[in-house]
Amino acid sequence: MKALESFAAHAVAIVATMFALYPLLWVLGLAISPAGMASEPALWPLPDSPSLANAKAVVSGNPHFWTQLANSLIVSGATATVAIFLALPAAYALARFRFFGAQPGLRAMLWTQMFPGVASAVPLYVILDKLGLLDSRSGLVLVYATTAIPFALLQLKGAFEGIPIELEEAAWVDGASRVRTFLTIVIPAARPAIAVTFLFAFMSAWNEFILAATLLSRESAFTLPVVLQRVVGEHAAHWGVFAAGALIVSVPVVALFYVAQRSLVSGLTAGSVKG
Amino acid sequence: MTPPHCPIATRGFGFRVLGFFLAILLLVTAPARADEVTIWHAYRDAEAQALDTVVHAFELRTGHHVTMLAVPFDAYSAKLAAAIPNGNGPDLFIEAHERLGTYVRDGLLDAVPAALDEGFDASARRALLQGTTLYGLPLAAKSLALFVDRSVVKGPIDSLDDLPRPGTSSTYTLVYENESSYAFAPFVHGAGSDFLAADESFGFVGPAAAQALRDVALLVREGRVPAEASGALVSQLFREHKAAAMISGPWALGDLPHDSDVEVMPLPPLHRGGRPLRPFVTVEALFFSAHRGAKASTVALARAIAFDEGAVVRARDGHQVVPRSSLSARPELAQLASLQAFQRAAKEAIGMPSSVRMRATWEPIGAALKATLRGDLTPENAVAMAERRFRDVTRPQAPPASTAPWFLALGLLSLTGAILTYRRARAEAWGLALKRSLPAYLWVTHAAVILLLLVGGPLIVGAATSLFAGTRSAPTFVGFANYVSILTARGGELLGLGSFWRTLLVTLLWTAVNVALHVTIGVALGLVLSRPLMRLKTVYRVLLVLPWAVPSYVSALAWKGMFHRQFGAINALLTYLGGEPVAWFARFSTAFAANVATNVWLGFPFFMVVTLGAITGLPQEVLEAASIDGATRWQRFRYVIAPLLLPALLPSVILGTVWTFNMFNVVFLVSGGEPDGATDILVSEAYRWAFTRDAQVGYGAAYAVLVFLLLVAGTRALDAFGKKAES
Amino acid sequence: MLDATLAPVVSSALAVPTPLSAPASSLPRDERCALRGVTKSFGDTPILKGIDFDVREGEFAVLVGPSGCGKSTTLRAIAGLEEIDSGTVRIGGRDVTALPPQDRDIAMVFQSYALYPHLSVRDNLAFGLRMRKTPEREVAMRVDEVSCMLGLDPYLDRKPKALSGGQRQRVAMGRALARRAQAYLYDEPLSNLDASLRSSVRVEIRKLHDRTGATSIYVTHDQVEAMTLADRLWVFNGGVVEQSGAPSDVYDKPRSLFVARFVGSPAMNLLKGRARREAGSVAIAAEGLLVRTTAPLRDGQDVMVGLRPHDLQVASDLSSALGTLHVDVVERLGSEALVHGWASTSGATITMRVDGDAMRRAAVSDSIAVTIDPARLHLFDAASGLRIDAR
Ligand SMILES: Nc1ncnc2c1ncn2[C@@H]1O[C@H](COP(=O)(O)OP(=O)(O)OP(=O)(O)O)[C@@H](O)[C@H]1O
Ligand SMILES: [Mg+2]
Repeated sequence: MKALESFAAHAVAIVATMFALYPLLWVLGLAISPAGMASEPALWPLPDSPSLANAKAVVSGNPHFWTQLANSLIVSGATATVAIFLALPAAYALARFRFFGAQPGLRAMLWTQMFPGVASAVPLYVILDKLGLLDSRSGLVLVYATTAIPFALLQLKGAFEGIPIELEEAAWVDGASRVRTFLTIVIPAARPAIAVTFLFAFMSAWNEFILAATLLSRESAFTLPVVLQRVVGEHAAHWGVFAAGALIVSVPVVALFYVAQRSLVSGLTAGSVKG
Repeated sequence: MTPPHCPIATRGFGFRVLGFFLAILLLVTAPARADEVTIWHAYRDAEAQALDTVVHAFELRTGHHVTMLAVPFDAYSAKLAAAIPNGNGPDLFIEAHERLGTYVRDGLLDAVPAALDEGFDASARRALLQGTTLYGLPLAAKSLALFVDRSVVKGPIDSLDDLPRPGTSSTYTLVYENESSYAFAPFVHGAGSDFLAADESFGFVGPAAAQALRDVALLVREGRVPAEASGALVSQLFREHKAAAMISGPWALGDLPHDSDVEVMPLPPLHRGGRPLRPFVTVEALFFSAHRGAKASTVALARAIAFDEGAVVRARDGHQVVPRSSLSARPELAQLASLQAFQRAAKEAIGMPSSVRMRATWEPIGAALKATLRGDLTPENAVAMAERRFRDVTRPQAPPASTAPWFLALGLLSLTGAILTYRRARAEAWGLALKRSLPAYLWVTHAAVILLLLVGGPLIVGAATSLFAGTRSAPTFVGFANYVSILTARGGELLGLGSFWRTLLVTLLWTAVNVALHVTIGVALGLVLSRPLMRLKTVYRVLLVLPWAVPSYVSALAWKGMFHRQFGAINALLTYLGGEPVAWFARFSTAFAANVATNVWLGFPFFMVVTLGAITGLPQEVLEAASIDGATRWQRFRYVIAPLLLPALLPSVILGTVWTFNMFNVVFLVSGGEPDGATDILVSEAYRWAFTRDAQVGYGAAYAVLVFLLLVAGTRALDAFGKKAES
Repeated sequence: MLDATLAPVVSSALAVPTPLSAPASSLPRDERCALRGVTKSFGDTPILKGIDFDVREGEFAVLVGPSGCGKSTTLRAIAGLEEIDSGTVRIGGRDVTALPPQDRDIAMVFQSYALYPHLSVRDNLAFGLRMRKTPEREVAMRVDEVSCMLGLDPYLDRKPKALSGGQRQRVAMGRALARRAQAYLYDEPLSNLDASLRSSVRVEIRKLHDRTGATSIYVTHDQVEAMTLADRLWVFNGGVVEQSGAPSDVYDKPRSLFVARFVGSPAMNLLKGRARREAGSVAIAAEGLLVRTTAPLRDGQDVMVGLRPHDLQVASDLSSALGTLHVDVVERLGSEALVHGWASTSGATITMRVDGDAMRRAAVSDSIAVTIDPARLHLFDAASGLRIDAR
């Protein structure tokens, strides 16, 4: 009985894993086959003779590759960092203070996230232009932060609510000021949630390309997804190169996911479960 | 004496944080540099390299500095439209002439300096005229031609009938992008119909149009042309000798191996003695952005690129068909037979009108084409449908509305608000509450200000756009006309294709199905993986979150490829299992299913992780008690686990609902709304109106506002439901 | 007692003469921690209705009272964790009413321990000291001292989640004791422990206090804790202090019915009765027992008669007895037994404690003649609930 159950559990897990991996194998197959898309229907997506030509084309076919990689890293890292730093105190206040305007403000912020981005892209462009931040990484960070901050706020607010208030009270009694308590007790206690929030903010910035392509006008300022998108042109697309690029772009995020694996479960829950 | 341990990081922590923050800001801000001449293009590969060579030579010769930017095609026109009016555009940009009408209307272009108007082919030059003003220097003419694989086909070719039947010497007779309206154009002209009549009315009408549809449908039905062939696949099939001939443009030349035995010729008639299949010719041109001022260096660069010297390089290295009459005699070009063939093809082609109305024909005709290829509509009905759609998109703008009542209402509203605020402020409790709130404001103000500025501002402006019609450069205030038009389905059937209500139903179905599957699969896997003694738990978990970690545009495109009718893995699997291959994007049900499969794949890891977290939070004793009480596995789930999990999952479910409702990527990239916009959801519809249908920004914004209102109402209802379930 | 607190306490492990208690101060004896007319309401519900409260230097004050009566709120008001509506809080001679917790110089042990989860035991213990900018040498010294005293040495480098409940409790205690505070506040620190651990830690706390002489305010539900730990007991009821005094005073002379019911375990037997004046004395018929007293009672006055189970005795003859107890249940506790029974079928259950021979003989459905030393009789006015003392 036990054995049967465990067998069933593994069967479910294996089927799910296959479902999860197959499309990725398909991308991998595309990336390492020299001929591009298979013109014969095939079940097994990997080619018989793999080649790294596509990956080479991504890296060496583009003189700015390393700069653009750095751009991506800086912009995504900065987005996540800025969003978290801005959201931390605000989320704390929302979790711990009762203040006038907290509820309506929170609700309004939630609502803004439901507005399809289609309509606000152009006004955003104009604002950045006025701020003189067009075509700069800071501008892009600011734009990405507009979605990252509300997300981080909600996520962290939930995490803070999950921290027992006694912990803070103990610190106050021990002589720590509110700010100090926040820095030395609350933030460390919310570390998993902060890690997960960072991951998500990083990931969404890392994968974005439409706004980046619109706002950036220098080759050396582009982020990787923009470059990747350029491979898919009007008349023809180099799917193999695209796939290879996609895999390269995915590596950092997958690595972050792997690192954050432990926090992922606890951090996400802290945010979504009401304290 | 001092114990061996490190003091906790308390001292100076604040300073370190601040420093870190500043460092990040510094790192992020890279100063922009003012360059002498900037030029934007969307070229790739050979064309891009040729342009590079030309520009580089120019730099060396003149000492001017040129900044070139290759913009992804998808973002190109949006970027131009956003940048140029604000003076941030390039000095020069390269674009096909078909958007010329729109650009001129929107004031994005300066006229060409008279000195540069010299030596261009008349036909190409004509394409760039608006009235008598020349906008843009023609760089290349692009039209379709027939590529014949001479290792397979020997004899002369006077019509497409002369190509070998399928299966004789190659799998297919002919390969081309048979679902694109651009590649359909030669057949339309061949049948004697047109996209746009000379008087700017819709030309794709009557029996001739139906005949064109019948012609191309027959090619597929007879197996002469593969279905659903897209850009990359077309040249690949041809390269691999799986098709005897290909219809493609000069850009395909670069893809062919040097030693291949290929002949390029203008498109012959469909049948011997019939009308020739005349393609559209588009002219790629060098445009001068408005708001940049005509600098001498700009003019010099334009000359270097567009005139003979640059044209030779572009023709030789970039395979471009350059419209310079003086060049035909150049020996280095004369020997490029394929280029000559394209030159001839371009001469016989029909210049594509560059008017705004022309752009509105693509989508309706494409829809009719696809509906016919799928066999959903008879050619006659498809033609009628196309005309209806064209009218829909080009319907006259709503009449301007007076702004007076609006200002009055706004004034009244703010007055009432002010009075209410004042009265509340006078109540003592309110003042006290405000005073108590002061410390909290110290913590939130910075975030509030940034959000207000960067989220609130654009959002309000965006929402306000929905009260306007027309384009960005010339909006007219129309009040609620956009909403009225949307909600009444523009006078058509309320549940007709493309109507708001039908799209809403699709969206609701889409959201419900997806969220249900996400939650079911996520919870099931969460439960399986939380079995305490499960082996390889971590391995499964790492592998199962991968779909979440890969950029969604990549996975969406991968899924689209897997659902390809002829070459996709899903149909390969079906065939392997003894089934029939399915044309996934031909019917609503299967296209919808394909979208759902993709989105479920993208979304289940999130719910799995949330479930894992929630299960960790469940009191273990309760579960044990239940199993001691003799509950079966199912009873335990139904009566103990599920009720405990539900409240923990609810916020994530709400979040997932909002995400799914607005899941633009998947719908846009996988089915692309196929068939015929039936699988479009509200956001993708909003996007189409705002960006592809002649940039009816206000109309798109009205869609966005409606989506917003629906979501706010929906989540409030869900929240209320959650509160009730909790109590 | 006072001197003891002022003398440096030398820890057994370390020969470093560091006083654990607050340094000698020139404060008036009564002014270690004082509340005056403190009120507090949550919304419209008044929770504290004017608390007056003095804890002397070195005193161990214990607050008891039924659940929800405002003990924790009082403690939190002292700590500054709860804003009060009116009244003043003075600690160490300073008016701290308007000060935030960190400036009040108090230490507190929370019911839920509130150990900082991301810090090791050592850093938990040191936290308060570091917050007050204590030199690192001294921090290390005091941490060692406290950990040695509480037996935490083996766990210093562990995180709290790797400790048992009792160990966590000791860390929580140590974190407060490592500090030099004006007062130490404990909110039911032992309620999460099992019975045996509770009693051993209780003894430890008392020993610790005797050693350090730190001024302590301690909230508990537990009778035994209250009686054994307290120098002075404060009985709270519904937001007011019902009685305060040495535990024995409160036990011996409960000022009201409420206190009588609340203090003492097993609880005092309370019987309804009516006074009848007789020559030279008053007779009270109370639910089947007849009690004589010299207390000043009016004829026909309704009273409650309180008899502690420990004071009831088996009478040698019926004439001196209050009445007869019909035994219902006998709980044998080893050296003694609790006998539950009733005097008249309509009356309340009466509990008495017996030992020795009487215990051995006690059996269900026996009848026992009971008596009491009149001096140990408690009388309360039924209407006001106040104690009536014999003259
Ligand atoms: N934040 C609050 N909001 C409203 N009412 C509260 C709040 N905190 C406490 N109370 C109420 O105040 C009363 C006193 O609470 P307090 O915690 O002081 O009781 P307590 O004597 O410590 O009880 P216990 O022995 O159960 O711990 C209770 O009735 C409680 O419901
Ligand atoms: Mg309490």
